[in-house]
Amino acid sequence: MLLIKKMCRDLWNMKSQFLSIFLMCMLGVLIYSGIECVWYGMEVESDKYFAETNLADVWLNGNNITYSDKNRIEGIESVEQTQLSAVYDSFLDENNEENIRLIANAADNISKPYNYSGKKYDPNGDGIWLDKDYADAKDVSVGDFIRVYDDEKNFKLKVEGLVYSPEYISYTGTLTSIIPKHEKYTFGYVSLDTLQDINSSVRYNQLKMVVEEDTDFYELKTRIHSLLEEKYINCIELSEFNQVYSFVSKIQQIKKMAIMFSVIFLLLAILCIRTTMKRIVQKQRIQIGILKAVGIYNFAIKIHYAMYGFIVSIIATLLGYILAPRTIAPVLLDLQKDFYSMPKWSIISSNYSIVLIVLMVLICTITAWLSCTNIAKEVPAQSLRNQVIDSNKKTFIENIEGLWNNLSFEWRWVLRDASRNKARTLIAIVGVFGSMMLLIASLGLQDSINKNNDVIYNEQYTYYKQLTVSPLMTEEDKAEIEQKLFGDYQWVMSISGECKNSKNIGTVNVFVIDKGYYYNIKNANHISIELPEDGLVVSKQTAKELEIKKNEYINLLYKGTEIPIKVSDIQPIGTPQGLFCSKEYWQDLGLEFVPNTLLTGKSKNLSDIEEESFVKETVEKSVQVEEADRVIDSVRGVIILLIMAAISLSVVILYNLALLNFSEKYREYATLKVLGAFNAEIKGVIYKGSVLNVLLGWIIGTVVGWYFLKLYVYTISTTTTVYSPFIKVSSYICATLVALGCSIFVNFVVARKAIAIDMVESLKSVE
Amino acid sequence: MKALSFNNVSKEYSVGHGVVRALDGISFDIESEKVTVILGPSGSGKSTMLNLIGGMDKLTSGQLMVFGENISQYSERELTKYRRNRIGFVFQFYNLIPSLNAYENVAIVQKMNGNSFCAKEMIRNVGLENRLKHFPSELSGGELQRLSIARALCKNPDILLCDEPTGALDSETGRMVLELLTDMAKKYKKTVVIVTHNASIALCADTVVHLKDGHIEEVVKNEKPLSVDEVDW
Repeated sequence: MLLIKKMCRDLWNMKSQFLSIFLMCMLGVLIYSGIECVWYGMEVESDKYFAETNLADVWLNGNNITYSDKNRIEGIESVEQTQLSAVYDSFLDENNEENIRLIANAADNISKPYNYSGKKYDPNGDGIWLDKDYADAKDVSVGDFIRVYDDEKNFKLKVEGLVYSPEYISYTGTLTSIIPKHEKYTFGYVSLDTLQDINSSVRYNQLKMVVEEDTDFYELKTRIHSLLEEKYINCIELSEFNQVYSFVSKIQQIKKMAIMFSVIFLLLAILCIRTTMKRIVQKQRIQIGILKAVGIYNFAIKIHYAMYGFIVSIIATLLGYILAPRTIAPVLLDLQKDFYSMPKWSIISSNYSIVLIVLMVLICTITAWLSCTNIAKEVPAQSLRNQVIDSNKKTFIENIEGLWNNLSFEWRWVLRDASRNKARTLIAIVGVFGSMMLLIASLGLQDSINKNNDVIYNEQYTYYKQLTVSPLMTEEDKAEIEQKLFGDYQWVMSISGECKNSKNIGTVNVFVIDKGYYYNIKNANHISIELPEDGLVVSKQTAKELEIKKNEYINLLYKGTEIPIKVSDIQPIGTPQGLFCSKEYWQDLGLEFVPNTLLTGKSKNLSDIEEESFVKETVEKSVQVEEADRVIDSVRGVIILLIMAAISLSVVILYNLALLNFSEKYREYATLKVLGAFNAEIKGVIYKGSVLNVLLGWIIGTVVGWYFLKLYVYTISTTTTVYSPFIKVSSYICATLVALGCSIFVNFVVARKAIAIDMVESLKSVE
Repeated sequence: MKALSFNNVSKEYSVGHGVVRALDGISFDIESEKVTVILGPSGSGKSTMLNLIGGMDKLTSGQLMVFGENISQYSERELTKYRRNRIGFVFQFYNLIPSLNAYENVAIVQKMNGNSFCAKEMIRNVGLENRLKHFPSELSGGELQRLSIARALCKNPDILLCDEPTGALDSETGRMVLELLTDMAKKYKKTVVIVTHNASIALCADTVVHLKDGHIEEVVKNEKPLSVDEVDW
């Protein structure tokens, strides 16, 4: 009981030191658990959602897939379930601005729409089961009627239900769009009869499949291709199905982020507790001797000191655990909601948080226990004697005599002290470098995204407007446009095709680019890539996914024919990902150049062209830029979190250490004061003591921060956009000013204590 | 010549709700270039007197003159300058900086006063010329106190103020240190004030001020102070 009272008093007396351990433990758990609640909630809900709706594993796209084809594919051993679907794109307005993808499933077994309200989806029923997000955006309710426009006709459909679809979690509608725009790109489920009423030529063109877990996709795709022959277009597995997989990979990204942060804070907490407990135990050496002299067992003494670590860490970690789902998690989760359509979002913490808490508490307790084992081993008489500070080791700088001899005594004192208190020096360096690293990562993340957007929309794409044109556009139409634009245009053909090499089969985007100056592909170093005459350029991300090597030949499945193409170059391209070739090379391969994108500058005839029926969609580049900038919003929460963590980290750790350093040297400072040193001279020694740590921490933080930024940027890169690490000079200066500012502020606060040094302390015995 | 003059000096401390009068209207003089011992049991006011002479504390009433200057009127900065230039302090527990070697511990104060002696010479004078590069942890108690004396003298102060200089040492080492202290004071013509409860030291002093409960019990002038060797420790 007495020891508990003693512990409470010690904790109170050394509150600033224990506060840093408390904050490190709390922040570690708060950040980890806060982020974990988000990814784990997303994972649990998506797993439940995918299981409930029986999300397909493979999507086979083909022409006129019949029941007989379905049966033959079902015969493949690894295929467990199949379901035919017809997918057809149409519009919800006369001006063709609201796009709707109509899906008619032959049955309701695989990738079932999730019913939000109204009737359950009936594959044979009339009406439409509409996307819930579109309904919200357009204020459509169950029982309302909507019109579907196709060519010159329109069809009135009753909204039978509002649904979410597991296949449309992140549906952007076009390759050019990053963020879902539900009011512009939506989907709806209908029956095949309804779909054929809209367009009689529609047939089943997709087969959704559920396959065994250990399926060899290369073999599966090859077999399906050989079964369907010319009907086969491509076969997409989940990891290539961006509408769903971007959500799955987002969960992985957030997961990695949580681990990265918690590891940093866990390490800092360990360092903090080690330094603080060692100091407390050293300071209480004589008290330990007294406790032993009065007959308290060694074990009880060790437990007593271990309890310091236990009590502080358990309260801190539990507080972090309680606060996480109420603070960080809702903010981060809200940011995800703009990007993904899920029927349910939950904040759930997993057992990993508990494991982290147990780990942190255990480590803190064990560290505290270990810090007193040496003293506990001593006989009471030995503990009751003052310990002589062992200071007879040379620092390595002393070997450089030329340098050492030119140093002032204050510097020698500071350097030797730093060398003899390695743990304390290390943690001070870690405090600055950790803060610098987090600041570089947070500001650099924003700069990297901005830079990426800048390169894409100012250097790579220099057009004013992008027009999506129908492939059915005639040569005359094309010639008329070219004439109206007076040569100020560039045609691009973007298709999705299946690419095959000896190791992999995957669906890729192929960009065939005509001559012009509106589309200049840039690599990660912002250097323009010239499209070769004898092959194509593959983006590094695609090459990595499909294990494509430079100068090898790959087969591109286009319109039922496999075309061998040479890979002339592999380049780190930010966005988009895929294969890039010139129109000339494409035509040399004997393929027809059918552009579906027109890039133009500002032209007085542009509005006339936009009115043409073959123009399906127009988008101004400035709108695309705004959209891309919104990506920053999704990470802004994390950026603010990082900056706050960086500042609290440096202030808390550095204050703790500066205070520790000050109290350890108090007697020496008091002696100097008795000897006649001015306050400014004592402050000078205090400042000098931190300069080295700050300088080293800043240098290491700059280097490690860059690698951390690289890793961080890599984790936020998606299957379509690969970000390159970048930090502006102004951001770096800002990070430096904040990191150094925190250190200077802390030292200023501590140095002010020099004024109040009690000189009488120097006359007392060392205790 | 008077080095120090205490004129009706009182010092009070607030303790809880009450006031403790540590020195109660004390008056006496200390001659320059002499060794004066302030002797008294615990609670007699020795430490308070040491703090006042050392410029570490301010008196409540009265006047403290040091070589004709009233230091009781000094500001904080003036007191710091006073400690810096005029007082050489020898601590009971040496108070050397563990991270500086013997030479550096003395040299760090050398620059404080423009009138300082050479640090190396001072260390040689106390017989530690072979220990220049040794750290405090590598020196014995006697060596530490000798180094502390070298540091105090290096500034070339007017007064050498010693707080129980032999208190942490065995008798033989204490005797050697005291001998060194008196010899050095004579050599450099310094006024030495030793605050102690060790009556044996008093026999070597020119003047002994007996303190008790904040009052001066008596001031004894030794016409023939004993040499350190003659003192029965």
